[in-house]
Amino acid sequence: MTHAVILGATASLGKALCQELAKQNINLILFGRDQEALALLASDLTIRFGIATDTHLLDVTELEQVTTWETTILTLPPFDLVFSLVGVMPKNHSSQSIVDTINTNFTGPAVLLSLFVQKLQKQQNGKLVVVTSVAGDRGRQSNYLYGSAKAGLSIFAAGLRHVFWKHGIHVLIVKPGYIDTPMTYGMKSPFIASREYVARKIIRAVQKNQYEVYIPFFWKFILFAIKLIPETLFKRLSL
Amino acid sequence: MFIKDVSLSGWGNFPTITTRLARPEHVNIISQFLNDNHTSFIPRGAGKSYGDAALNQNIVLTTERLNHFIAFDKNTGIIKCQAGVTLHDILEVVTPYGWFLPVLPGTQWATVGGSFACNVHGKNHRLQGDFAEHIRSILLLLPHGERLFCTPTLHSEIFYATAGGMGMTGLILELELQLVHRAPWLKVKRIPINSMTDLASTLSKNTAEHWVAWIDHFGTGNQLGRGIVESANHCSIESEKKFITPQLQMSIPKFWPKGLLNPWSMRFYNYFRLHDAARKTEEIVPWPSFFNPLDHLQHWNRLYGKPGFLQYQCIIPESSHMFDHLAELLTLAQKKDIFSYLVVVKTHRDSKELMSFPKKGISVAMDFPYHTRLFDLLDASDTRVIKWGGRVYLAKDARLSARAFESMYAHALPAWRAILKKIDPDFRLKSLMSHRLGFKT
Repeated sequence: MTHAVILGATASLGKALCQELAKQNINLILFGRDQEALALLASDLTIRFGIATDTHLLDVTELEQVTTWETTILTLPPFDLVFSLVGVMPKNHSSQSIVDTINTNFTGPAVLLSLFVQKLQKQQNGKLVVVTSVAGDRGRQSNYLYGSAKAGLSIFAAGLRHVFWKHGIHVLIVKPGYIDTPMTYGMKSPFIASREYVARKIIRAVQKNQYEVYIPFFWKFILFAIKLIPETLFKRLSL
Repeated sequence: MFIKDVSLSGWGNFPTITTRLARPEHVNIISQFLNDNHTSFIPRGAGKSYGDAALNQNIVLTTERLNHFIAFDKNTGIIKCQAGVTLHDILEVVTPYGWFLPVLPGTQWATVGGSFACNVHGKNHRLQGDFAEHIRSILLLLPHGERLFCTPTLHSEIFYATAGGMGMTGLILELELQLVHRAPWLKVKRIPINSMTDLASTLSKNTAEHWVAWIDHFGTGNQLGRGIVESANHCSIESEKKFITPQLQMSIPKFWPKGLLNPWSMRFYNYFRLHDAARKTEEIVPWPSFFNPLDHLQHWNRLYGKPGFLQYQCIIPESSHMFDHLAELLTLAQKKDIFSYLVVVKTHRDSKELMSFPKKGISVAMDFPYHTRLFDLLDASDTRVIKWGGRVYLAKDARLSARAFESMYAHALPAWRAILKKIDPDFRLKSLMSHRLGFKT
């Protein structure tokens, strides 16, 4: 019985994804940085869906812990599916916030995923699902810190795919638009998708072995158009 | 950020206010949030109370995403969960193991926290009492940030001030309930009644666990009290039917024309309901069909349109004149040419919690489309209810006066107010209801 690993399980989207996986009777290994939230998520999944859950406290910004992370990964039960849902919006304009945003959205997950893929390489089998964002498709004034970190992670994931497909490892990059989480709460946009919808679409994309998916699909066309705009015009827009 | 500007109301869509709704996903940020935002606030579950109990002009804190299960012992039937878990969620988890909620109100979509804060009751109050009687413990977040674990014997005065306390003691974080062994199917008997005498006699003859009467308010004179009584018992736990068949669900769209619901369409509907020969007199039904028939019509409150509706639910204490009093309330409205579109009668025993609504007797709940003429009628009804020693149910209320409230809950107010003063000296917890009724004066 193999497990699925969820990095950032206590994130808003993380919970919805865990529920979708639990409905399919997949046992879960949950990573998060909030002890109480992890415990609640684990008990909830077990009681509602009857699956087994392991929890591990891990803060992706604590990069000095990288050797501990390596050892932890070696002790995990067999797994062949790894989801990275780690992500955070900048809290304010402080320098600490800049460091946290870049480390949480790029550096931390990139380091962790490198460690996880080493384990998957040994078993010559596995799938990696990296949730980035449409915000990473172009450097824009309204969200460039978060967006650029996510962009870095997207390219990193594509690189992993190129190296490790020969070892039986498949990588899916998920680019959601707005999802109904604290990140978008209060935004007046008609395009906010429910967590459950996004989670279901991610599972579908995994099952279909897709490489990259925009959720909902229409963001693909929106970003295609945005990427086409020449820079002399784009820099004058308020996007 | 997890807070946004919204337009918010209770189930009756009256009153509606604009306020800020906070939807935290984790418990540990709430204390910090309340420290940073030092205004008054009110907790809110699913917002199924009818009036202004879960409304505050500054901050409304919803437990919508604080809805995790914590523990479930399949042998003892003790379940622990966060306050945002709905009664539906609980039943979905526990019915496969032969467990059921001892008390289930009219909607399965209420949260456990809200059900405790309103101290809801079901159609079996005479046997199982209030919702709070089955709660073993709660974890309460007090307004200044401290978490307090309370049971009926530990910090019991705070436990009992929270049961039916309409959110005035703090934010309920977790609850632990004792379930009962019941099958999720019920054998229902339907008895048509033609008068108040029929109603009284069916009640006196009743031996079933659950009993409820639906009355057609358009029945006047010697037809007053015509309606249908439903009594039910759970099927035996060993019966073969273990799984609930999917229920037919319809939804009322947002822009439902208000005029469709009017006295004539309701007379029509009531006539058919009374004379529906296709309705079996005895039937085995899945639990939502008996307990929560209205839940099959999602957003049914939209039938009343934008003005919304009010429900008047009161207790008529037991006496030899109990049904005469009920008749008096029904005719009072009819004389003013005001008709209720839904009249439901239930029976009760005495309640032991501090701010409880039920008393030994019968309760009647009447839904009225919003109209300015309604307020005088309901004030006149209050006068009678007070005279009879009865009370109005706060979970449904949107217009009770502070004076009437003082009379109706005089037995509990001094003790309740003393506890509230100790827990919330700065009046952090406030709602439109607490202001209107003077909870914390």
